[in-house]
Amino acid sequence: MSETVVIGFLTAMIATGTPLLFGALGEVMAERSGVLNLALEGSMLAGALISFLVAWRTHHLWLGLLVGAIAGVAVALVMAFLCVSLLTNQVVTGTVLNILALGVTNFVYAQVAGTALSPPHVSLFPNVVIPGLSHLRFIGPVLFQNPLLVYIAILLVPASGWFLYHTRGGLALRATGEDPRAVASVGMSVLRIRYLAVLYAGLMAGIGGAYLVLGQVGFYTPNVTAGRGFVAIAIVVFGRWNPYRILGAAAFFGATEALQERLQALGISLPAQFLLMLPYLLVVVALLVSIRGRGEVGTPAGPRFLTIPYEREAL
Amino acid sequence: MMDGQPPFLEMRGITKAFGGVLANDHIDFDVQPGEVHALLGENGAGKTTLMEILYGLYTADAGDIFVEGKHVHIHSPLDAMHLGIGMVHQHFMLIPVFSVCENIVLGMPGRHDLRRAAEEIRELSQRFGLEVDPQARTGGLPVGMQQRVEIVRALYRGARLLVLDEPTAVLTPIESATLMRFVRSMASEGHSVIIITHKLEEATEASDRVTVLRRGRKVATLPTRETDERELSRLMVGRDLEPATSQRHDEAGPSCLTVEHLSVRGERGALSCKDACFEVRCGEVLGVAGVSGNGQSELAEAIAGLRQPAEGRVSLLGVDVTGWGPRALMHAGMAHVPEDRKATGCVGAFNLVENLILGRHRESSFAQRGLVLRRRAIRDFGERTVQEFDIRAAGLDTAISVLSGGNVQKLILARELQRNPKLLVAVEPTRGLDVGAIEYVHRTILGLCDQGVAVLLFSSDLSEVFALSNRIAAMYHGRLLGPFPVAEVDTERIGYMMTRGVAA
Amino acid sequence: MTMTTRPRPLGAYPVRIRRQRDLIPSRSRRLAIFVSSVILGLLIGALLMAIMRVDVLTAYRSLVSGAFGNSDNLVATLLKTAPLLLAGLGVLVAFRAGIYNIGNQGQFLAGALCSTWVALHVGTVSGALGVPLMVVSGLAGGALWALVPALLRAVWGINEIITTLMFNYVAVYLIDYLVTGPMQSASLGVPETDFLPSGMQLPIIAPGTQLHAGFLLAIIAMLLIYVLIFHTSIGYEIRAVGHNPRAAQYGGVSLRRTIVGVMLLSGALSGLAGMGEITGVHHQLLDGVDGGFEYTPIVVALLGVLNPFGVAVAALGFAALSVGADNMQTVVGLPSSFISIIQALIVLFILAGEYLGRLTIERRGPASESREAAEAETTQTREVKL
Repeated sequence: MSETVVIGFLTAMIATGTPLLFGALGEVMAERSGVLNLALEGSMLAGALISFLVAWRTHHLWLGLLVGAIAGVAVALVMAFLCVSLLTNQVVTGTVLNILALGVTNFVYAQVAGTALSPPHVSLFPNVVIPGLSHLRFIGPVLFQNPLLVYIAILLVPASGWFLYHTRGGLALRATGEDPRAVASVGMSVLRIRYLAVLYAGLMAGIGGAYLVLGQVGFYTPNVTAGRGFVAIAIVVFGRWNPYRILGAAAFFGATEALQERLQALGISLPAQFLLMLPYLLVVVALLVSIRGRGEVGTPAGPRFLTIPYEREAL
Repeated sequence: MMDGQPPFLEMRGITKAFGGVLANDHIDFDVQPGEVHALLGENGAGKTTLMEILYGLYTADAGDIFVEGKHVHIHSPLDAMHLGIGMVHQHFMLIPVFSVCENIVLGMPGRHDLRRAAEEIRELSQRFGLEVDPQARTGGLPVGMQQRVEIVRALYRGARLLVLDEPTAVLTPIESATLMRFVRSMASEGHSVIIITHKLEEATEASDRVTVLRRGRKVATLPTRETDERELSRLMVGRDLEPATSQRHDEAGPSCLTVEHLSVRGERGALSCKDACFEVRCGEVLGVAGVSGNGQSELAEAIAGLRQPAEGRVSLLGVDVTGWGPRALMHAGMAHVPEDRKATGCVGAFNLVENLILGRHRESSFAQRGLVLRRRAIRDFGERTVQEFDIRAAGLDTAISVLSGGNVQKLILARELQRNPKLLVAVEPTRGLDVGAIEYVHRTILGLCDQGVAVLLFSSDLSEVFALSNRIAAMYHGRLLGPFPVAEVDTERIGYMMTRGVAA
Repeated sequence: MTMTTRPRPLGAYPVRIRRQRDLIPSRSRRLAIFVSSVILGLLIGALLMAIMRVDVLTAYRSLVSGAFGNSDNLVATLLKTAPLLLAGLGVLVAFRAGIYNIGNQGQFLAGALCSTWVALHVGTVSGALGVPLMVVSGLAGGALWALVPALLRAVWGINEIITTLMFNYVAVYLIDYLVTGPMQSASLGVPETDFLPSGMQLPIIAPGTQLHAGFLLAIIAMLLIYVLIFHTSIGYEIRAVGHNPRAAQYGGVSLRRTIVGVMLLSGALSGLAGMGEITGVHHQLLDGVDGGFEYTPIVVALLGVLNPFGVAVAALGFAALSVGADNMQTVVGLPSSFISIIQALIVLFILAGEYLGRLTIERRGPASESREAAEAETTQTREVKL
């Protein structure tokens, strides 16, 4: 097993894991506030398409990213309006929004680029090489020669952790998912907190989707996200709603996908699909295991009031 | 308490009506700085409403509130908090996975310095003799400690007037004593405390003055040392209650239900019912008198199979049914009219006739082979029952939600009684009903006894208990006192037991 | 479910719009919401078409004729309706009990897998045994796939949304593994299994067409589920648990048994749909046999207001739209994704309409206060001990 193979594997792991990490870091905030944002997939897809189109036409990758992020927020805005303000069922609303997002993106893409013989593509985000560190053996090329967005994603982990556990805002957010009435009783607005959390999730998903096409693959195909939004949700569960654990979970999911492409090269004779299904099964196991433990969220399946719409009432 | 000083809080002429029923009828109430003032009254007397108006949860229809001499308008708990009014509710608003410090600090502006906050909290709690560990996980704390956290929370936010709603309801005697000590130390520091309670002991132990409310009106405000528990109990329960002349006498029939050393845990893990021992004989009504919140719900649920007891035994007609579920108990001959008729007793989304067969839906008379519902048979049964029990509704398909409380209760009774039970457990069966419905329920219960059915009645309405029971027990703080044959007690004695916990 | 409620403080307005949490909107109101949502969706579609210079009438007409215009199209529509209806019934059963089984895709695939495996291993079988055997395998496969999430929920209270979602993915990868590995046809050399023996294929019920018995199965299932939900004691219990688990428990219903039973039945129905696709259409197992229908059954079940006949109509509607969309693409050049946009919009309007359906306008006065106070008496516990 040569060094290049391992480096290739690790690099692929990071590349694959980054969109997932973005999505998960966004979703964790939404779920901590009590909203199961299944429309994360839709946000990611919207971000992917819009960022691609903008980057393709303007040749400005970062502009594409920006607009893609906004697209993700737009989807999340609809989700927030329906679930938080109109108190609709979160599971159903998220599912339908995903269907809508898929339809819209397919439709728009078909109009714009459907008839081209070969799918249009864009150049990828350039790697930002960190001087000095990138020359380290092994981890140098793996960790320190990545596009800027990867560094941003990784740095977001401690930033999210800091926010959640060391600020009053994070305290309020966590409280909202555990007991919105307690939050309302101290005069804060559950509505506002949930809106912000869901919009943030959309933003992150939008960026994740943008990175997927502009940083990882370089082109767009219909349904390019292929369920990555749901994988991000699984990562949040697997990481037990903790940003640091989520980093590990995202790496794990990225690793299994990177691994299954390289099984032969690595001399492992395991069917690739088993490796791919492993993370999902482990999520279920993780849920079962955390039944006993005293986690940082109210129940093994997340914050106590997850998926429960909160209706404002004068206590 | 100092006379001559302006009161910290003054409520004048507070009036609040809910649909024609006056919850508060021109109540005047004041609290001096550094005073402990008990607000005493039965359930429904209006004391909680009055305090909720104070805390901004309701707005009074008429009346004024003055804090430190200034006329104020309180529209929300935030306003109340800004004025220095803090309230500790009966149902805590604590987040179990958070630490004590995190719970206290939630919603407060400023930098998130948990360490400094923890220091401040520790110091504050020590000052008042209310030790709390800021780092402890709230969910693992015993109930008494959780209450302390709520109190410290109010103090940390600058409360100068603390309102405690039924504070010793969930505390052990030792915890209650500690609480009262704290209350006194608060007062000595110049804070005021209002204790909402229906328990005489709670009202007199630490207070300087007691205000008694009854039926929405203020009956009296007395300095605590100038009154005694007997007088307070009389004021609270009402002298105009006719001495109950019961037609009932002590029946000596075979035992139907035997409860031995039954202890049951409540919602928060503490024992709500402790070591209950009694038996109900066939053909008799055993009335358990008690203000709600003293463990009756938990005891009834444990007997009816909706809650697992922590200890003890329940036997029905000689068979040990401890821990049995509702279906098995139904088959064994138990019927249950639950306390919360709309949330537990029926399925709101079902219509009248569907609710009538709840629990009996698998019987062969209603379902072929227990499976296929016999629509015709069910409807016939529905029509007969509605007729027989005089349930007023637009039709069999009426949704339950539009039925009046009285009719829902009739429905539930009809359903339970049609099963020809051997034992009926009825919890607050006439709560919220009009006079006619009450009479109906009473007649039904008495009729059951004539047929040899045993009835276990839980009620906070003394006149009801006396009118129906052969023997009466009182429930206070999870403990059952009695039962006594009805001829040997009167309302005053039972009322005393209900609010004091000791046989007079 | 929510905890203790308290009324709002008085304001200055004489008339107030209030949302009544427990109000069940009347049938006429719900119908109004449904119809206006559909109309609104179609109007938006028309607007988009106009912007794209597509002739609205031609477009909608081609949609309809594509679905029902001739017998071929009609058959195609009915063929697409069958699995959608079956899976939609599966969702219906679970949702009626308040169980959010979104694993219909995995259960579908499991049913397909199970029936393929049984068919290939049993080989040719005499007479009329083939089809019943297939039906049983389809049911069993789907039910088995729902078993683990069912137990996790019933015994430990673990959220079935996440577990069934995870099992979807496992199923997809499992099928992929099997059709590229152990179950791959030796002769065909592509990621597909061998063809099923002829005795194991669903017979055609309309000669000369492709309409197979799966459609009949779906209709039968619809009738059976209708009877089950509304005319049996089991259905009564399912509905009671879905509305009010605490009262159901008080009425002697075993919550655990209901949850497990409902999940198994739900899975079985989706599994039957999977079986139908295998034995009726493809006659072999291959990747993508679910035809990308993932979450559509959920939408169909909801549009059908969790009523078996409603679900049938909704399934037919969705199937018609999908099939018609292909024709619409040919005629006016609008891609089929356009239709899924309209479908999704209509459902979103209906969802939003639910909120509107609970609004009441009333005059403020003592009467409304007493009602509020009465509502304030209501306490519902959120968690019910299983």
